[in-house]
Amino acid sequence: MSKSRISLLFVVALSLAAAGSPSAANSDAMTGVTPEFKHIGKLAFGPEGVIFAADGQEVTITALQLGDQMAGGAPGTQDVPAIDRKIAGLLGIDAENLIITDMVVDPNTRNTWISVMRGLGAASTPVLVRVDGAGELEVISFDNVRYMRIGVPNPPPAETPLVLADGRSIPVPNYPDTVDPAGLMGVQTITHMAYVDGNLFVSGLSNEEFASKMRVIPYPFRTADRGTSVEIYHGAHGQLETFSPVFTFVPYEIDGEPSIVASYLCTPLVKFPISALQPGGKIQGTTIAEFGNRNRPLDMIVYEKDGQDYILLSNNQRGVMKVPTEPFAEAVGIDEHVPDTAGVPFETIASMQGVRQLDLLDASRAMLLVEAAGGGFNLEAAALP
Amino acid sequence: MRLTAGAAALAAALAFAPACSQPSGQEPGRFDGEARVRLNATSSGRLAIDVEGLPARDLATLEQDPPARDAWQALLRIEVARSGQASTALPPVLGDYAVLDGALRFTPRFPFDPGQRYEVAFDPSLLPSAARDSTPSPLRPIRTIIEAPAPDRAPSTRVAAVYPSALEVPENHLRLYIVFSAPMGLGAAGPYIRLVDEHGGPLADPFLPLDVDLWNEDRTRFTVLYDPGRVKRGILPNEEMGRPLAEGQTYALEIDAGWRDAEGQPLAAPFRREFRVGPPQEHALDPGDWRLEVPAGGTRDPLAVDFPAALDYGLLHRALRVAADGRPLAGEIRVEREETRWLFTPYAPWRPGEHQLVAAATLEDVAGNRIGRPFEVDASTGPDAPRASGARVPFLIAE
Repeated sequence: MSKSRISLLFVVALSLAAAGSPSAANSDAMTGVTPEFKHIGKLAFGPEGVIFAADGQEVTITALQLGDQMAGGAPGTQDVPAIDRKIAGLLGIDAENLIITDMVVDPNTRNTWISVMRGLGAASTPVLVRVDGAGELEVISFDNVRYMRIGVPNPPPAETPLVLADGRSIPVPNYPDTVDPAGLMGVQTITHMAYVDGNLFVSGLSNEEFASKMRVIPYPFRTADRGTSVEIYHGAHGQLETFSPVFTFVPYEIDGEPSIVASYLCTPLVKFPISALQPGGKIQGTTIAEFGNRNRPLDMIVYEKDGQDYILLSNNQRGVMKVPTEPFAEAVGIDEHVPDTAGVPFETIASMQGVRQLDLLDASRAMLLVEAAGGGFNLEAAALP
Repeated sequence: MRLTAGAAALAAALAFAPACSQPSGQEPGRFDGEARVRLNATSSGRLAIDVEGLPARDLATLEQDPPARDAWQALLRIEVARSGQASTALPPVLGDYAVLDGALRFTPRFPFDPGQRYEVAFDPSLLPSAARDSTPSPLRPIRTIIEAPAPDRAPSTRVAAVYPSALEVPENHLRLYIVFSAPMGLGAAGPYIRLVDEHGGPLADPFLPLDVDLWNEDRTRFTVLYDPGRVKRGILPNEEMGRPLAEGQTYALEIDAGWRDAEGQPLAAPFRREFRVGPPQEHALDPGDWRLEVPAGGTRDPLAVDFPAALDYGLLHRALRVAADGRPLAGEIRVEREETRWLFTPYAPWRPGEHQLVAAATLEDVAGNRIGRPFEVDASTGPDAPRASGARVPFLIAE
């Protein structure tokens, strides 16, 4: 019984689909007012008054310089049941025609920001919504908003093949207009962003042979470089993987070393030293855990409780996992096939079910977007486990 | 454009409440005691909701001293109409209020969604005159439903074909193609496809739960993979659950009409296709078994290739071609006789001489068997397992 089905299913694809490659976006920054988006996906907060919004279709990142408009009416975020129906109602559509693409909490105001696509298909409109401490929903107008935008260089082709063990391949779409938002893989052009000390870290795929990239883009934007290829050994697949993007990550200091803790499809947990991220280079991260197959990691936060640091990792299939960070420094890299889970210990939080979005609300609570019992989503705070 | 069509059809879409069903024949601005709600097109072509027949002095006050958003929304509240038993209180639809052409106008921030129903509530007791004079408004409150005109088309997209097209498939059948008559929309396909046994009971998890939508470029062909872990013997899920299909049984593929096309319309009809399951096909492909019908030089007659058993429909279109002098010939491919015949018609007439039928290593039959490598290779064989190879079958075009 030791044969793993996944060893059959996933093998590294070293060649990229040639068809339908979108043109490379400009990697020089531009500024303007009243930004327009084709798609709005991942969000991250920048220096005060700035929120970054990724356009996964155009493969650009826009810094919205909202200034005083960042704050809602009341600080904090009040729980909002049926948040998807309420946002849809505000936008004049049925909730079936709304796609929530990200949810983040402003570390200054503790308001929650939600990116959505209003409508499905070609005519859909990107919208940014803020929820405040009174539960008020505010659609953020882009009119007259100053912005700075940068294109991510070498965006990926339309599809990147996932090659099965016997050579058959599955073309996996990368762009939002061809990705099922509820599917396993998700949008792969820009998968996650985090801002630390003047740098925006951006993960996603590129059009290069070693497709999985981590980019470090200084803000204010000037130019974006080719990024660093981030290869890992994926124990669950028994392979080196270069085609699969980091789906979520957090910057975190491990034993004094500023690092990135990242997770990939089928859930390896990997650490990279930030100092190793060199434009045009290729690094291999250290795989410190395998959290299981047939799973996409969604969001990751770091928090402290009772003097210990933890990572909370939400997943599309395997629930929410609490991972103590203390063993990270000494953890031995996984370099052989593992059938299921291995590496640093974790605990699956039984009380957190159906979590689709996760961010840190404050020192003791997480903000969750949770599947509601009767369908749809609730926005609710939960005590950090 | 759906909305342009909607604007043109707005008159037909008016949904009057009983209180506002009178024709609007009064002089402009004259108060006749009846307010009406209408869907009108703005000068920019966007649909807006107008309340007509309001007292002129109320309109003048609202124009000169516009109230705050909350007060506007209390006076005229537009909400997405709730369907079924949903009880969630919804916020009013976001939009701008103004007095225009003798009416109170609500213009939504985002265009009304074609086919969407909206609840409209007008409360005349909150008009400035009623509030100021503390006298009940002679106008009656209005509660009505307005439907934004739906695109002028009925569902028309159909399942055009399913491959393999034979009525019997081998037990280790690996891949299905569903071909649609028009491009399909985004969204998970999983809920709309099911496989049922002869008693109509759905099969549990027959398909690869990768959740990746496997579409061709124009989203007219969808690929369904049976879970190879269940098809392949000796792999954990196969040992636990067995193959999804069993020899001798009859199944049906059912496709729900709720699957939306690129226009957001459901399918014109549900689809159902029954098939029998025959013995597994477990041998590697052998091009020596293929029979070629070679056309004459100077013609554009097709080259026909017959296979002893059906090959994979999708791969027949991209893993098989014709070459001459080491270069591929341009032409048209057709697949016939339940995927046991492949026809190639060149764009230019055949030139006499040596040609080759070139099969890529990826070519498979419906059970995943390749040239030189059956699908059922023991996974433990490791590097010694036979590798699939491509093949070149020479043929001569005569003078």
